[in-house]
Order: sequence, then C-alpha cells, then structure tokens
Amino acid sequence: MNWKRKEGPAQDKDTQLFLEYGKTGDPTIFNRLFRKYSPKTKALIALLAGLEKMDTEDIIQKVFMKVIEKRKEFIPTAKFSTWLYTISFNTTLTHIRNRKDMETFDNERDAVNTRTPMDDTLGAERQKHLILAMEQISPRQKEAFILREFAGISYQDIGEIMNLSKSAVESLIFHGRQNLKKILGSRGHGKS
Amino acid sequence: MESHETWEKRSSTYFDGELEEAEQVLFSAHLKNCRLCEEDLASFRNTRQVFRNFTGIPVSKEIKHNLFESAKAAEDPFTFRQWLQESIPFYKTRFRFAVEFISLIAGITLGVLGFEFFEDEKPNQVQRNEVYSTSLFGPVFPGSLTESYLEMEFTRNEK
Repeated sequence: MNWKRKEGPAQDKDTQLFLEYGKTGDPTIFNRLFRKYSPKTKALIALLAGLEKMDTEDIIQKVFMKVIEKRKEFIPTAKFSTWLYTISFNTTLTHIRNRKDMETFDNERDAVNTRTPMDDTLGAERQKHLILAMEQISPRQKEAFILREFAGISYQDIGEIMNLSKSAVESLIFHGRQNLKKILGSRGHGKS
Repeated sequence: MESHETWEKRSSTYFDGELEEAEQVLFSAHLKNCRLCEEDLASFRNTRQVFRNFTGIPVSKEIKHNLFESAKAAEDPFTFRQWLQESIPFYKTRFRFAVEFISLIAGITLGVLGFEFFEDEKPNQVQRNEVYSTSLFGPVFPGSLTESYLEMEFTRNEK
C-alpha cells in the first residue's frame, strides 16, 4: 500500500505546490510561488527583450495571468520553473513581434543614454557589456544562450521551447558563446 | 591524438554537462592536452559567473497587487461534490488498508482462541474434576494418592 503519490521525474517541491494550486486555486500558494519566481522571470524577460521598463512590467503581468488561467492544464512532465519560463519566453517573443510591427526596433543600444530594467541591478561594468554583447549575436543564439545560462533549462527542454532538435540547440549555444567571446575580446574586456 | 577542431564544438556541451557519459570521459582526457579547449571553458565559466550575479528584478507593487487580486478572483468556490471527488481516493486507499489490517488481526485472534478452546476440551478430565470438586478432602489433583483412594471408594459404592 502506497501512501504517497508516486513521484514523476519532474515533481520537485514547487511543482507539487503548483499542482496543489491547480486543484484548489488557493491564492496564498500562488502568492508564494509569485514571490519566489517573479524577480528572476522579470530578469529573464528583460534579457530576452531588452525593452523599456513599462513593457517588461506588461509582459510579466501577462505571463502570470496565463499561469493563473492555465493552472489546471499544467501536466507535470516538466518542472514548474521550466513551464513558467516557457510561457515567459513565448509571451516575450510575441510581444517583441507585435512591437516590431508597430515601430522600428533598434538593436544597438547606447547604455549611457538609455536605461533598461537591468540597469537597476547591474552594478558591474562586466554585466552591462555582456548584455550589450548579447544584443549583437543572432536572436536565436541569444535566446538559447539565455535559457541555458540564466534559466538553467536543459538542452532537451530548450529544444521543446524553441521547437528545435537537441543538436540544433547545442550548435546555437556553442556559436553564441564563441561569438560573445569574440565580441567581448575585441572590446578589450579579455575573457567574457 | 585528435585535433582541437574535432573537439571544439563539444566544449560547450561538455561545460553544460549534456554530453553522453562515454563522450564526457573522452573529452576529459582530451582536455588534459588541449590548451585551447581549456581557455574556452575558462571563458564559459566567466560568463556563467556574470549571470550568477544577476539577482533578479523586483516587480512593482501595483503589478503584485493586480495579480494577487486576479488569483483571489480565480479561486474555485468550495463545493461539497468537488471535496468528495478529491477525498474519495484518499479514504478509499486507507479504508482498504484498515479493512485488511483488522481482518488480519481478527483472523489471528480467532485462530488463537479456537486453538485454545479445542485444546481445553477433554471430557474425561472435566468429569473427573466435577466428581472430585465436592470431595471432603479438598482439592484433588489428578494422579495423586487421594485420587486413587477416592476412585476405589467410588467403584465400591457403585457395586
């Protein structure tokens, strides 16, 4: 007789907590998860999009509204964090696409004159230069790189999020890293 | 010895721990002899360290409040039917366990009692005890001299 539910491969504590939220809709559980994941999710969105502060707030609100709406549809084949970052990724890309339709989007930002959400937390110059360097590599390489380095998602899951094979993800991340190394090296910052 | 170019593309995958076990071992061996791959890994480590310093960006209070209100509004109202549906599997498992456990204990108890009951059921001894319990000599134990004497008296009276 098994008193405990058999745990699947992705049922960490937060995933179990979110499953509980899906059943009961208890807002205190949502609040707890929100407090834990919202800062990093917002940073992920800012890294992906490099947008003005207002847009990032809009995106994060959309992301967590989707989390509330889709709470019953969550299937724990992956961790809750991976699912959340998938929603963040897709919502951010949709927002960027819609924004590009409305205005010209300039990839070359002047870090001195334009404040981004990351500026509030970036103290070190290395971080600022890394962000600027990422704006210069291809968007796909940047996305794969950020999902791996910042969100800590496996190649397999990145492939599912970006609709790519595992080997394609490997290639993107490798070339992204090599390009960053060249850009940061050419700026005289030595190793990235 | 394989060249750096052969292994270069795997350095990133190795760094992320995503190589197959056999390849991981081979790459580790290659790493001892390839300065360029070592430099690549050092560069990847530095980048990762920069990312680790990102602590995240706090969300504004207004957004927090809006989301929390939305979560409260989306809370499912309590219904007895829903509670019943969620509770049934929980109690079903435990009920079954309780029934099995009680059955086991009852079975053992009945088995022990039944054994003791039939073990005590010896007609001659019961009758003997009944005969001797009213004896003037007090309690008479089976096999004692008093029993033998009383047996003799009993059979003589019968005659």
